[in-house]
Amino acid sequence: MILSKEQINRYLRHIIMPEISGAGQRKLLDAEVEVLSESAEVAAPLLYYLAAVGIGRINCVLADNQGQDVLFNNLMDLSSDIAITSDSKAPEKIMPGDIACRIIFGSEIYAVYNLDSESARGCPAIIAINRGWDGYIQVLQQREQMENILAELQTSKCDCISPNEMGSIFSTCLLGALTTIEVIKLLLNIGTSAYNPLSFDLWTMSFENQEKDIPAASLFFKSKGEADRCQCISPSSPEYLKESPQSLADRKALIVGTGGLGSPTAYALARAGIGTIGLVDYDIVDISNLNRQILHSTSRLGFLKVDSAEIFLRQLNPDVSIVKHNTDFNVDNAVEIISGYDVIIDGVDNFPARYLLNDACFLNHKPMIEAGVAGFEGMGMTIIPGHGMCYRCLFPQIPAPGTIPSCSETGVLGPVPGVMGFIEACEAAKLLTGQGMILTDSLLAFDALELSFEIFQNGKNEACPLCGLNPTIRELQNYQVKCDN
Amino acid sequence: MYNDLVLDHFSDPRNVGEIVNADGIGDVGNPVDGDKIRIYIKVDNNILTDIRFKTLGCGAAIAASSMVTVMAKGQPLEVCLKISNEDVAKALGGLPPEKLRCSNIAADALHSAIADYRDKLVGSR
Repeated sequence: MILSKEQINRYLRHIIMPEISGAGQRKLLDAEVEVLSESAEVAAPLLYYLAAVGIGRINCVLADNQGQDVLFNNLMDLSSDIAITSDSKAPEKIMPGDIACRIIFGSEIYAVYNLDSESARGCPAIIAINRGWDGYIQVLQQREQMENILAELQTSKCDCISPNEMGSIFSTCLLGALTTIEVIKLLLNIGTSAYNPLSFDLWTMSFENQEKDIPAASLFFKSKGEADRCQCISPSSPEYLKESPQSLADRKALIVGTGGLGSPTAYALARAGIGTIGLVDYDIVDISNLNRQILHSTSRLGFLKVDSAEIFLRQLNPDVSIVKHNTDFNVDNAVEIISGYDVIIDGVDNFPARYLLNDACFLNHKPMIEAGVAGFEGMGMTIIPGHGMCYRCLFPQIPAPGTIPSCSETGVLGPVPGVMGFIEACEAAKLLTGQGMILTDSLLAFDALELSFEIFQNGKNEACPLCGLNPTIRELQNYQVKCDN
Repeated sequence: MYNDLVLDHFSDPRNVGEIVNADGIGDVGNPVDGDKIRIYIKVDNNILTDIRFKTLGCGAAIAASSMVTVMAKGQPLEVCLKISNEDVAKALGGLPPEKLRCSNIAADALHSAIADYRDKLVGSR
């Protein structure tokens, strides 16, 4: 067999997809990538997803290796298949060799002061750079492109005293998942690699695939001097920006499901310093979870997911209170569970639970962050009861039995729920602290093979059975759909 | 859940892909969702000389597709038509009971491809 029995089970959700299959997973396991980054903390979201998807060898060159040992132990526990090493060689000394792909990952400050064009030697290289809420990712084929990018960063870099810390956490997390997707696409020669850059701004939730391979004006949405939009603290910042926004530390988020979506959401919110995370799950950790569920690990197989998640999150940020709801989320307990939280985040894997969550949140006036994934695609929206559309405005009824994918095994690329979960966390944090713009009345659609985000503006549906003019749903119903398998 | 032979065929499927200018193509499965299997065949002198498949579905469906191509390749069409879904499951050393009904449909796809080939043959006469 080209994969061991354990590997087949571990990467089941990849192997089931014809674009990957067992042969593609074998290629990932045989590949070596190198990560150039500023610190273990910054590189962590990237490294968790690289490890989860089974990139066999990962060599890190970290400018600051504080926290590296703990991180490496976690990575090898997440995926017992990988080897992770650290190399303190300066980037210019690195020789191209067996490395399939080099990743340059960090803030613009790191890029400007630590990198030169030699960093991209032995291309292809993937460069992923952030500035506060903004991010930029591109696959480079030539070393000269690196020179252009560094020159651009040098002239456009923000005059911040400190880049927006909360924004940096979310943009770095998102870049980590996006970069992992680009690594897989390069290694397996699938989809369209991001030779043309993708820029995004999480503050406004704007995404743009640039048309040319060399950035025309700016890598980022916000150009130099736009400090008030940048949300960084600079000497000329208006006073209101110097006061911190409403603190996340006294806010409570409920995450329903601690799997592919719940893992990145909880990870990012814990990093950002949220006060309380409630976790709902009845399941136990299975090996086929580990290609994407970064809160869990090989040594915690068989643990309750809520217990496994708590262990991970406590280590990540001991200041966060974790409330565990080790139960099925159902019509009898939904209202009671959501009542204690400021925002509800959907991380479920089936339609009945998703409709129950939507209805319970609407009827109880709770804001809900919604996302779903399948294969290489994801979608998301933010629902504020009484302010714009709900899930049923777009999808009025639960899909009929027999059309429900969760009844059978469905494939999902590990970092795809990562992308959508990080976006959910970012939406929750902005909502809870009263910053930025959120995805109300919009449907965000993500396509990993094209590395594109599209936002469709949608209004409230007057015929919506829940929140329309003549609602037919006034209380929670029976959401059980019998699986036909 | 799966035995070693199923895991082997699922993770390293044989005869996967398409045949350009196939003599027959057979589709089975629920078009909206669930397991979908498409089988392409080449026929020469009543012998099934080449066979490829594309399957979107669970591990059992992929393994069954792979196995049916191995069983059919090089056989006379009459022999291929006698291969049943149960034979495929048996050749795989068994499938989980919950998979037998919905995912073990690869032989149906083969039969459908042969029917398609024969229809075309009649049409071209």
